Amino acid sequence: MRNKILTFAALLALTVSCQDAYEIEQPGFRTEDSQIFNSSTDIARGINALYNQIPAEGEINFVSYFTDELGVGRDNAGQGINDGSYRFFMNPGTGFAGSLWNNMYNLVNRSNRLIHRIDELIAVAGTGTEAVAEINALNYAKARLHVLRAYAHMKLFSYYTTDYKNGSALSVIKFDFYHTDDYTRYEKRSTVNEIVSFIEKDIQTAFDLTNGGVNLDTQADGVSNNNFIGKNVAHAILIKLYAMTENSQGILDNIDAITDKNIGTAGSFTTLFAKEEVGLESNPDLVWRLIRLPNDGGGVAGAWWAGAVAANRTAYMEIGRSLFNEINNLNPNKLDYRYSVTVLGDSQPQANYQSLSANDYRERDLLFIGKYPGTTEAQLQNDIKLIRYTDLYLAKAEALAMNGDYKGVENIIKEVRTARTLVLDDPGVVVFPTISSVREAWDAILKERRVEFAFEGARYLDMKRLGVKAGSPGFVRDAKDCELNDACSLPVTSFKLTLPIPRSEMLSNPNMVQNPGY
Amino acid sequence: MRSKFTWILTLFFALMMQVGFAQKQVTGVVKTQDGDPIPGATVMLVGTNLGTDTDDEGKYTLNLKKGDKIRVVFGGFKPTTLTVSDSGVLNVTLVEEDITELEGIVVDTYRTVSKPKNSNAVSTVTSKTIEGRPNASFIQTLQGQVPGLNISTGSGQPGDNNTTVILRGLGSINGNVEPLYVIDGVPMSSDRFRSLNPNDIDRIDVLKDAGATAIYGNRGANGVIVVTTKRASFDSSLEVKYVGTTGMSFLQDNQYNLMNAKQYVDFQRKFGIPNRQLTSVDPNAPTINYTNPVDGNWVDVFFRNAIAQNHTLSFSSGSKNLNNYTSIGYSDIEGVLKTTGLKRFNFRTNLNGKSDNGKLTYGTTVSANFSKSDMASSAGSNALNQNYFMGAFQGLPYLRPDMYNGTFDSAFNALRVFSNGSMPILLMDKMRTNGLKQEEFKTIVNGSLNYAIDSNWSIGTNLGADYQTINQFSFNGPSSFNSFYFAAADQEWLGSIGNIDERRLIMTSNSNIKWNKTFGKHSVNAGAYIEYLKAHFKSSSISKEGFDPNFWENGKATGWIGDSDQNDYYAPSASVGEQSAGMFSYFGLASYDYDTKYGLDVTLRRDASFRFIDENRWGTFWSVSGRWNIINEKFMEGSTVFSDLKLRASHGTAGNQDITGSGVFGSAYLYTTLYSAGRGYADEPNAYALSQLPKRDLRWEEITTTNIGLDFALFNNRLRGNVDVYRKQTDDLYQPIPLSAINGSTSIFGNFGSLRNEGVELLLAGDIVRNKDLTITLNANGSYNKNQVLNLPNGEGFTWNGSSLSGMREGGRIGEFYLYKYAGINPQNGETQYYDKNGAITENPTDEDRQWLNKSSLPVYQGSFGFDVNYKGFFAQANFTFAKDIWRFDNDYFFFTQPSSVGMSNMTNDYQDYWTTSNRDAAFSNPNANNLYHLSDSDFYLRDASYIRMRFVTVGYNFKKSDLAFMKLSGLRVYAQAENLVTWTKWKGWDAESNRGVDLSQYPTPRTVSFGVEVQF
Repeated sequence: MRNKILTFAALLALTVSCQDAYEIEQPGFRTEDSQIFNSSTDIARGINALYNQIPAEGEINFVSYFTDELGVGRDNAGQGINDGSYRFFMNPGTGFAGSLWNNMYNLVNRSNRLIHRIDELIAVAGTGTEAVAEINALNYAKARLHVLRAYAHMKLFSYYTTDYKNGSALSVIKFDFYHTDDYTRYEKRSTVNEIVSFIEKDIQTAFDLTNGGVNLDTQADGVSNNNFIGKNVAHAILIKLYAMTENSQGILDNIDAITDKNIGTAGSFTTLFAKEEVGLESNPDLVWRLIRLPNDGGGVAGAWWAGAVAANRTAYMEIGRSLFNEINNLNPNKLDYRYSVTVLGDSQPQANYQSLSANDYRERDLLFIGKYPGTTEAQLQNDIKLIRYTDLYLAKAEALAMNGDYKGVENIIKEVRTARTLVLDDPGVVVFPTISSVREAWDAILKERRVEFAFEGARYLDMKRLGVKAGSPGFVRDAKDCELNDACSLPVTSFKLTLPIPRSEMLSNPNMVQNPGY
Repeated sequence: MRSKFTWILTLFFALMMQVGFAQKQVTGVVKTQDGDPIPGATVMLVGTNLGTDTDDEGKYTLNLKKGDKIRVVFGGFKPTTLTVSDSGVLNVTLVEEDITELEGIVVDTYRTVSKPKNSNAVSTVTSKTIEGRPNASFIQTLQGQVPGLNISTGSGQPGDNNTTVILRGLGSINGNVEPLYVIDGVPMSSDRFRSLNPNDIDRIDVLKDAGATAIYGNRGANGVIVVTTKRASFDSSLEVKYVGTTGMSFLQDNQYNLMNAKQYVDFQRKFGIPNRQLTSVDPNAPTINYTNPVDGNWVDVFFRNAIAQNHTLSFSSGSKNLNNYTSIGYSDIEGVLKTTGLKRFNFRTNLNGKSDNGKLTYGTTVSANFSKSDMASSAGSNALNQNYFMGAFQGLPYLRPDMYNGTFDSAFNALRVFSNGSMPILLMDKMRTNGLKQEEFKTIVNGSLNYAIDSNWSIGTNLGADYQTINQFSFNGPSSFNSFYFAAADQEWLGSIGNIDERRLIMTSNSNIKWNKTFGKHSVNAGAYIEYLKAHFKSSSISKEGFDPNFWENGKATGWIGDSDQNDYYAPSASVGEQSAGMFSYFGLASYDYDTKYGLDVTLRRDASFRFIDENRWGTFWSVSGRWNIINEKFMEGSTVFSDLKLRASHGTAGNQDITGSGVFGSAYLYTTLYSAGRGYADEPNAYALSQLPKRDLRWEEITTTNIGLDFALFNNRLRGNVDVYRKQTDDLYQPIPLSAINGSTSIFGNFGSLRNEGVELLLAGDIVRNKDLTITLNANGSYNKNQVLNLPNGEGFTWNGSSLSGMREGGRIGEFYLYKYAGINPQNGETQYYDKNGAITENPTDEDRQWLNKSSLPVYQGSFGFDVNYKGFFAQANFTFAKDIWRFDNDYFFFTQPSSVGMSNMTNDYQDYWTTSNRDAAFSNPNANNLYHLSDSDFYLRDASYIRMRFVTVGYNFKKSDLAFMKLSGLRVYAQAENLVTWTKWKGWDAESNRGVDLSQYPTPRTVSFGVEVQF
């Protein structure tokens, strides 16, 4: 018996040491932030990854389908139609309602982790010149994270808040704390006032850490670039916020604080959306762009096109006739460059489109989308123009309208229209609106924004913010664009102008309250 | 004191017996009544686990002593027991009985027991069923053979691993649901067996209940399939055997009632689709006669009658101390889709040796297998420029193959003129320029060594390795439409390749010590084992664009354009990866038998997995099983009804550590936070990101099974069968638990909830006629399985992702369809209508109106039936498989009935009946209906996919040995067989059988007719 036990023991020993079978170190796995974030350079690598969380293409895609920007394209075989997105179909499972919410809170979660890690690093940084320089760099990084966090909250606020002007109305979750893996923490929706002051506080913190924003602009590599957030972006966030809450003074203060930017010219507007992306870093109109390189994948124009943006490629969707007519009417001789930028060169608008049969209309009235034309290297991809000065400048017009200064609004719109027309061509042809009431001022702003920011993901929030004040009926497609599907309009009062809290949040968070209508 | 005395006495007797009755070698031949030898019959020493199989001449050799009883068992023959005399020769004549399902022994990796002493639910399939079938993988051959084993093939690609094997219902939601495969003692890293030669397989044992699987611990939760390859026997002369089959495969039919060219042009005219001509962009292009169009016959363009051949040549022989089985095999199997196919070469040698006194035995099994597959990429996708099946099935019937002139220009012209309708022409271009190839080398090696220390104790060890390399090469030629269309505008050199190399090695070792003892009518066996498993995976890949067409060759990477300073188009991208996995276990088993009347088996196993930490790392699994051989009771003596009767029962647990279903290597480190580095924003080559949230308390999914079974044979074995009932409950399911978005994710997977499978399995065989010249046997097996989700991780009592066609609810089944109920067409406006949650009719249903339909894509009832006829050497065999209560979503039919398909892709004539003001009572809605998009979220396209299929039918002739003497052959068998010849189903598509709930343009399994010959020299 003893021999057998010994034999068995020997066999056991033969089986090498057994622990290596289950205690396996997979190569390259890092499990603690202290293993990788140990300097301002490391932190910069962490911040860099956050930019990919911003669902910019998703927003442009969603807004184009869900508003009155699109019409069914020549080559459509059900894309966007079969799934209901062109038909104003919206529920808590709708893709963009989920991706915006989730991506933005994901961005804030990671920002908060990095802010926490920066505080840890500063606490042990020590003294001496090198340490001071490192502490400064860490503080600038922290300021950027506060601006990113403010941006995320501003976007969330804009889409999920039912009533911007009611301070006690429900807004979104205020996410201002370090959070790792306590999965049972359930936050409530904060009020409009709470979110507004939180965003203001974040921007203020960023300014305090960076000498009033000066050092926000200098990235780790020492280059100031509108690829990244900077001082102007911080002010822009507040302007966009105040446009919603109708804080006219806030808008006016911040627009004045923006430096080195203006609404540009017809020429700069054309290069902004040109196929060859030249000089975008210094384009006067461009406050913040998200740079897109061929290896990044995806592509903004893929929302409407397959292959490339060209008349001989596959156009699933085209410019909606109601939008086209607005652009077409800008001036009789098409000298407003928003026509040539938005409408692809090989388009074939038919003057008698209303009398065409449904199929002839689809096959012959060709209104190709040219605003994001792709680049030579990646034919569906362009840098995303996330915040333009013109957007902020038209927010100034909104501030003036809030103050009852409708003549001031008229002047701003004149300025914008002039800046979109090549003066040499014939300034006399530019059509200027005449505004004689505040309601007309709102209407003029809404209309101007529709043609200026077509296919830039703005229309949905513009309608939500301005539609009622402007007396707009809401999203209205041309009858020809809904002949085959009957999805002609969405009234300005529809509950669908506020996104639903996504299903996943409703399911997981017992403290969450859904928006009305869903 | 007394017990001590007994011990000594027993020991004394044991010694006495060894002294008094010296063993000697007994040989004999097992024959049929006709005098033909029976190879492969099992000869067992009664009351022990000792035994052997007869060789190809029916010969066996055993060390026996006078008075020993041997029991000879062979499928299809009545088991016979004989007593050993002094002569040393003991020939056995078996009476035919045509039992195919009751085998003499039951084999698993750790033990081999005689059938009467088996307490567990195990089904056995032997080489008789597997050999000579034209299937590329033995998995397909198992279809319909084992009650409770649901095998659904999802692809007609020869050797594709897209076959789902589910035993007794889905045991997991997100984890692995397929059984563990063990080939000659070596656990497999995947269920891909395209490289293995089915003709080498001797037997397959399917272990079903906890009593059988608990010993496999954390890998046995979904059952175990034990494959044993052929062996030779000692003291046998050389046998050479050739098995060859040649066959042809065809595409199955569909019932879509598709339009022909004439019907289509007439139809699209009604929709105002203009008569487009390619000549509008290319004056030399062929024109379409829109009055009398010619049919494009796209199915013929992409499909073919595919030839398949398989050859296996095997050698077996044995000397006194050594025997060897060696085989070589070659197969060339074409797929019905042009350009697809499988070629393979197999080599196997199985060697067994022993010492003169038989105390030391050793064996090795070695197989080396190489296969080359040409595959169809993108099957099932909706990429109209990529999926051949879409082009073949949906291609506009009035387009013609001659519109493609072999250049991408003509494909591009077609796209410009016909838009999405050009897909068959784009796919002709793809077929010319594109390919996906895999080369696989797989070797399975096992070595075993056993030493009997004395008559009670033995020790043994097993070492096994499964080594596999796969090279995948995909290419898209520089003159292809796809490379042109999706390239950058200023990219001069087009075309792309991708090359992936993967290497997997799994090593296992198992060492054991066993003990057995018999006290009078009591016998006890016990064993203790330790097992160690380590697995390594390495991969590397490279992909690149830009090739010179002058140097290009399809399937190669010639014409490589180097990177330049101007751009990065031609820079290759590469990756290298590595993973490891491991497991350590120790376990024991014990069994007790009383007079082959009562038996009890106990197993206990502890496992450590690399996937879990802390207190969850080790799992403990156990089982208890018992049997009562009622037939051996006194009161059954002289029973004229029963010739066998045994009651079995088992209860026990097994674990599933592959909770993500990602194989041996997947899901390491799920318990911890992970960070990753990778390409970042704005050309940053290295950004840092949080890539995984931790779930520290992850643990095994645990399956508890209770099984009760009855084995019976009645009327002198004329009616045989068994019945099993089981309940299988999975706890600690790995499933997503919703998270608030502030966590940085909307869900995290954790262990939560339970599901249950309950069912009945029945296997029956009966001899209608049984005499010397003619036997007719009918056989059938069937199973019923009820799958039920018990609880789910959110308060709603159901989970549904907000867009999917199916979800789960407590009390429902996994993958239950969750859809609107279709309520027909509103005759007033032609809108589609649905039932809302209150049963009222609505045109605008919301999520709340979705209903649980109690339908899923896994069958509730399934099985097979067939017959076996033998008449003087002629034989005929047929097998029909069936599945009932199975529903699938017909996405092909969706596209054939979409108004947006008019002018874009082929349609069904059913759609001629669409709503207009003059046709209000229509089958399909107003093409302009505003709510049409709800239709694809309704049960309108959910179709009954129940079927009965003639799985195979074989007819042949077995030449008598005496007739073959002049050719010096010892055996000749010729046969013809057909697979999947007829299917009766309501399903409209090409293939009623599928392992998916939603089907769109998939590679259908073909029907095959083949001829085979088996020659023994």
